[in-house]
Amino acid sequence: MPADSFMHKADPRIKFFGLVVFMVLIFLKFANPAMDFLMYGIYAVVVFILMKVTKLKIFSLFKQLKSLWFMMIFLLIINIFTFRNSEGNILFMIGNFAIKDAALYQTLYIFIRLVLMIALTSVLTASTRPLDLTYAIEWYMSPLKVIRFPVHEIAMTLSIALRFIPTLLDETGRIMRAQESRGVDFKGGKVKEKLRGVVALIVPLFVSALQRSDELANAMIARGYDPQAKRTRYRILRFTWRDLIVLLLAVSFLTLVILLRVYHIDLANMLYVNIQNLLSLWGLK
Amino acid sequence: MAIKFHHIYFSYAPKSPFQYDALHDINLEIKQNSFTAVIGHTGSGKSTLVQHINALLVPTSGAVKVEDFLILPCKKKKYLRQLNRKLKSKKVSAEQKQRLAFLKSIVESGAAYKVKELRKKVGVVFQFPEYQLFEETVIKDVAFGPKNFGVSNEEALALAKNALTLVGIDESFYSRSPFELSGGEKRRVAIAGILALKPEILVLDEPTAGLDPLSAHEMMEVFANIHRAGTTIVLVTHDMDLVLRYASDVVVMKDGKIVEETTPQKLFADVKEEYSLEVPAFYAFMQALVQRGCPLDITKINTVSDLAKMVKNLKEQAK
Amino acid sequence: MNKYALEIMNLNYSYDKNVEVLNGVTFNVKAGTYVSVIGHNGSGKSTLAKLIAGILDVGKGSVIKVFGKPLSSYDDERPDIGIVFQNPDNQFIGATVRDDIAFGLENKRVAHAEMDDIINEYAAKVKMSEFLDKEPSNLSGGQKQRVAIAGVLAMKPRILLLDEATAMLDPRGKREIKEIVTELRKEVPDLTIISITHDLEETLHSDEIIVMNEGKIVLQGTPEDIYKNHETLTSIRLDLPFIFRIKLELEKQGIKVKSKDLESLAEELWP
Repeated sequence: MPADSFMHKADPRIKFFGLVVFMVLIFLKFANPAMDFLMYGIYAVVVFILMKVTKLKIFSLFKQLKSLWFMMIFLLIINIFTFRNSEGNILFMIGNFAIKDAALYQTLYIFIRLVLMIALTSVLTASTRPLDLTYAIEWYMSPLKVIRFPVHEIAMTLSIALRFIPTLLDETGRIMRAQESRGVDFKGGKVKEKLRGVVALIVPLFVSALQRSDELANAMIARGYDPQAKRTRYRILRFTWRDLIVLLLAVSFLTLVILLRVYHIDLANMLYVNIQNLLSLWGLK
Repeated sequence: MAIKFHHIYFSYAPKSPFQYDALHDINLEIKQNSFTAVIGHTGSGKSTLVQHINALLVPTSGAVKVEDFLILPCKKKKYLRQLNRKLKSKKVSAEQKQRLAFLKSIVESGAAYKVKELRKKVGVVFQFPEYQLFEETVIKDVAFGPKNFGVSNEEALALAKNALTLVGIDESFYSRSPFELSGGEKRRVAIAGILALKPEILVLDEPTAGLDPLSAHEMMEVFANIHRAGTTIVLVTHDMDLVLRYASDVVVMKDGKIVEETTPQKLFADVKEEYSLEVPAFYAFMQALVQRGCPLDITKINTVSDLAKMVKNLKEQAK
Repeated sequence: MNKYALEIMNLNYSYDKNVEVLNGVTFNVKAGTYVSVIGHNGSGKSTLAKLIAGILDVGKGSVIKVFGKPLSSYDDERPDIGIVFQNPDNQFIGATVRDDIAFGLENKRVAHAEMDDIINEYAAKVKMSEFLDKEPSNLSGGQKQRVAIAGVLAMKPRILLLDEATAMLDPRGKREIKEIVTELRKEVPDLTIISITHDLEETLHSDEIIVMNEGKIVLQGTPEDIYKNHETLTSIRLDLPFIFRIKLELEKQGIKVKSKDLESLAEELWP
């Protein structure tokens, strides 16, 4: 996470917006499969650029995908059965069993979408502190204040929860070690044993968490905290020129893609045709 | 049952960007029936070291031997293969090979530890142990440990009652919820939970942290009694008072290494500044007197009144 | 200006009907002084701290006045009293040192533009300037407590209440806090400091010590006055700070000394 890229300096609210927009685009379907794949290709290029801008290593993305391929094979088999009677071209036959191209396409769609989504979210999480994300969420929720929705309280709860994650993890480790020293086997052991072990972990954690929140609440009140009262803010999110650029890019990309979709423009075909023409012009065909 | 550490190295999160090397080439023997204090500045590796004794942590390299049990970085066969490979490698220095050959002989002479057996022999009490309490009643919580080791319900209850008596918790507490007890009472129940296992080695990590001075000494008397009955005690602490009063041996750690193995008296005769120990007023004062030329024999002083008597005698002799 | 920072009259408290934890506690704390409250576990000193801090409600017939103004209920703002609690983690609210000190300022509605200066000033007072962007999981107990002190002081209270603030710290952390308090005495002489503690060495620098036992005040006076009463103290399960203990033992051996601190004592004993 620590780095100094353009993305790192961009406002979390804009990044959040960009993420949501892109997610929507990923799920659009276009004129035909060729077009779909072309668009996915364009998305991939954009995501690649984003990852590079955020100084992410593409390699780490592949590591995350390793666990996916098994699921994909499974999905492919399911799709083969689902689509065997639908329209579409037959790829090949196993005896009387028709394996249609639709099966392959659907599986590929899901795979590509997953990869893109994983890559996009990693761009967001790598370039944004979790706390900044809560500020972004708070900002997006703020209109709800009109209907007395406890926006501030939720944001405060989220930020405190985040602050305590490392502390709670440490505590979990400590309790586990203490119980292991009393003979609990968290790794091996029969089911009954493991269950008792889990109880021996959860109960102390819970009790400790309750005591902790009590003490924390006292400390907050002692420092003048009143969720209902007005408070000033130390951390203020400010839009900069970077955010304007990201916003413009996001909006133009969004518009372009929507146009392509709405008007059923078959770019793929157009490209294909044009490339054919070019090739014949150069006497290669 | 002695505890032996042979060329122990330990790193948290090895081979990751978060690697932290906590122990460097630790070679140590903790004698059977000793009351060994392990002291050192915060972060010197004391807690990391003692967690190897019951295999909560296993060394990144090297071997720990508790009785005949071996605690190794990985399975015995695999480790022997690794050692053999290194011994044949040309990249390894002769000095290193000597060390590896020694390790190999250690490994071959012992059997890999079995978790349950080891953890029954070695009881570990962590800092602020009251956080481990979870059962509905005090007696059930203390009986939890023995039951995990396959002891019958009746026997577990008997062991629990014994342990609770040792720490001074009487019958009236047995069916109360551990959560309604005071801090000091919770601490005693938690410690009873480990004593109920009747361990042959008792590892204590700051058992008196947060207790007022009188309760701290009451607690230490319990441990002293257990020690006199034959248990080996390893005490990790910052409290020099306790070290002087109760320990037979002292191990001083600094930055992941052992810098001195000595006795409390010899240690306090001349506490070196580079150990970064917080020396309480008592010892600082004695050292100030010594520095002014007073021939105090610190090894013979256990309490403040000892000190006063000695000063009086020395002053009379000086006349 | 009020002479007394704190006036406590006839304070009674029980958690349940049977056990009276505090019984008729009455004392005053003069403004600008440093008072330590000691007593064995169960003497009522923690309950006293909670009542002053507003975590527990004061019952009828008991009065607590802060600079002349009576405190009535838990919900009142207590801007004049800043409290540092025992557990370093459970009072660290912000994601970083900076954010934690800012928390109190946000509650006080300090203007955004002024916040950074105040944060830097108080971080410097507790020697945590280099740690402003560190997260609590990377700080020691002593460091976290220093941040707590900074966060509380940044709200400019007139009374600083330390509720066993060093109990969970290692010796180094304890020393760090003691040093900070000593420096505060010099830098902010108007600040009234009340420290509930069972570290007796800490009490040597206080102007006054209040000794509690079984819900009552047993002794009140300067360290010199208090630690003369070694028999009383022992009977209520309290010890003496080393300097008084050694002077006592020397007296038993027939050696009378005049020194007030350990350095001079060493000189006096072995010139």
